[in-house]
Amino acid sequence: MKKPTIVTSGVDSEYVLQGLCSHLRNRGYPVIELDFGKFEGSAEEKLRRLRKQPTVYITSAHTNLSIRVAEHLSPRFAANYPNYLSPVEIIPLLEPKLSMYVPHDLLTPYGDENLGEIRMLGLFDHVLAPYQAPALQATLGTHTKVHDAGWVKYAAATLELPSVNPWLEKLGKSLGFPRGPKVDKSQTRPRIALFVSMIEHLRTKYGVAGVVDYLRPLLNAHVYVKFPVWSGIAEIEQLVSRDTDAIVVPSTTTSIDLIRRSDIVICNSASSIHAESCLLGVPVVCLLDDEGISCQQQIEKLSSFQGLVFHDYRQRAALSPPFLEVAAAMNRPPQLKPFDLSLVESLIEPQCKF
Amino acid sequence: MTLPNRPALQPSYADWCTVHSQIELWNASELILTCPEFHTGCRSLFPDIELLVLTDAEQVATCLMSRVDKSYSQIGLLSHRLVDEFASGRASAHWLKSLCRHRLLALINFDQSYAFRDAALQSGFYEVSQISVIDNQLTHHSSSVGISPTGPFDVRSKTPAAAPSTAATTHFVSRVAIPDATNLPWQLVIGEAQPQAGEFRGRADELTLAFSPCPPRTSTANRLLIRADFHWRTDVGPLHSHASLVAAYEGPGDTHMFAAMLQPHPAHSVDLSLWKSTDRWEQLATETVLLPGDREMVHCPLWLQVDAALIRAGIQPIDSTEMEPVWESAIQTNYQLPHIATYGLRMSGDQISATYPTASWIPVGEDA
Repeated sequence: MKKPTIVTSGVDSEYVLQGLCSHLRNRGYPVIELDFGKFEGSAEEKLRRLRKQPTVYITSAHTNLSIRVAEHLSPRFAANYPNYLSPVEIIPLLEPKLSMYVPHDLLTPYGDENLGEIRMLGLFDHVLAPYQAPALQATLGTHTKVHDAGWVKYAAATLELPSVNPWLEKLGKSLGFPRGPKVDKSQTRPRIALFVSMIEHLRTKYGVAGVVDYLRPLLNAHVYVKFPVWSGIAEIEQLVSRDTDAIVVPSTTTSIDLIRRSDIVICNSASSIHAESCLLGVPVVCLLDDEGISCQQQIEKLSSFQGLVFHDYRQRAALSPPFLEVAAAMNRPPQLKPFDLSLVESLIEPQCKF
Repeated sequence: MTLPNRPALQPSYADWCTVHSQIELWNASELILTCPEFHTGCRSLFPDIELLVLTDAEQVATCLMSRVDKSYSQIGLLSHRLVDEFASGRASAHWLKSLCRHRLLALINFDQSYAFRDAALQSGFYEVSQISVIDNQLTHHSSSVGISPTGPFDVRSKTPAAAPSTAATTHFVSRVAIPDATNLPWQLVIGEAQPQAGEFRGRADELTLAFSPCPPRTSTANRLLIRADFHWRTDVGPLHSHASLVAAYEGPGDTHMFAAMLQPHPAHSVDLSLWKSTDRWEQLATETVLLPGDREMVHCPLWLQVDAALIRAGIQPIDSTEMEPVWESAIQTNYQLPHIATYGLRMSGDQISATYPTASWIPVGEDA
């Protein structure tokens, strides 16, 4: 049976298809990953060559965030990834037999207001929705099929992946983390995971050392801090390791894995991390800080999620132990469904030729 | 509700010439939407293509909604009235996009171009380009990409697309990026004049426009400052040229911009005036001033500043860094300086020369 070549695309932390690719490779599909955080050379030429064979295109990238758009909305993105190609540029170059969109962000899975991405999702043959599939289907019409497919990072956490590195397993055990999602009741203090969002804004505004100062009231011993996979992030990680007592978890670690191993999650801005934690039932503290977006906007963006508490961080006030105890008690049953890998295979199979 | 009707929306001979010169491209359509005025011509030119003849706005909506389970690789839009309907911000553009799998071809009058591009990009098409077919080659003259669903659009062009044109042009509207259109150089020049040896001079009896993209805007700097040095001779007989600095022009079809204009008189006096264009030019302020200079040559270092609230312009005195404004005018509320504006020169006649203008962003509150 001749299987089509799977071509995927995304960039750094917005590329969340490693687990799916690993699964498809194990099932015998040739897979080409275009993570523009790592890819070098001309993707355009590569895609034109691939056009000669049957392909299936799967992406977790913002559909219409081309460099041309980014030059105006996010100039830093355009500067960091000058060879980047967005899905609206890849599709005409590749001319795939089938296309699929997998959201990388659980807070606004179908795009934020600035790009109006939802207008563009009708380009794809399939959207693999983590939630709200029926509402999205009604919006997109009939050509694009929307599937209730679960959350792609949830599946990745269950796989043996090079990117979900063995280091974390070892780290988890050495630090007393049990395997699996639940709380170790013998612990005397809650296990805290600090995620940092809006990193480009913070770094531009405060510089590398300033970012560490900004986080310093939170960077105590027993706090596990994870930065996003992003250009130049190693410099900040090294400074946090050197100057604070916090434990730096490599940025390549799957966020959902760390969330599931934590009693409390802390994150600034209004991020997919907040949504992931809430939908996984892990209490999450949102730091209100007026950085990048206003406190009011943070509250509005997160208003539909339960199990979330806000902490005023404008004066960089540390979180008190009693506050953390109360927050930790807010855990709830998980609502998020693991990603359905077999569904993807069933959608690709009609493209296979005997 | 009836569709808009005015003489300019009737098909002209030039319209049919344009369509005929691109007949192969139009023939790739699987569906053509038209109106009664264009129907006979469409039936004759495209006997094998499904035609939908729509007479009023309600029919447009009903017809498109009833086809929601269908999709067409290419749809043609051959009716100025229907273009007005789609550009008017109604739901029709959304429904049209839902039916269209790849691209839309539309015959557009110049005065419809800006609104049509805006509506297409807002409804979810990614790119709009103005095209012609020369020697069977598809040529893109300008290309627009929406920045945000309600925001302005980025334009790249290689032709003087801002020139008013009496003939309709074809717009190629695509749901994905158009590979051939993504690298169009961005410099608009209307007229034949070109910068030479660092100077720019128009041509006799011609209007000349030259634009460049503004440099990237930062979060703290949101006042655009444009400068150029103008000069002219006073010993060449009657002066009948004028020249302007232009700010905040967004590209083909845009009629919103600001200008600081100078009109020289004999001796060393000059009329300086400040202008705003929405759909037509409106003078905001004017003043006659005397300029320094030698007997035959007059110099005028003109500057123009625009931000969301204020437009100012003036002359920088020779041997001074001070830039006291000659005029200042509040901008009406709700003005947003475009993310992707251009700046440039507008010159009439050949008696005035200018250095090529420069542009920079400065923080509001910090004068030039």
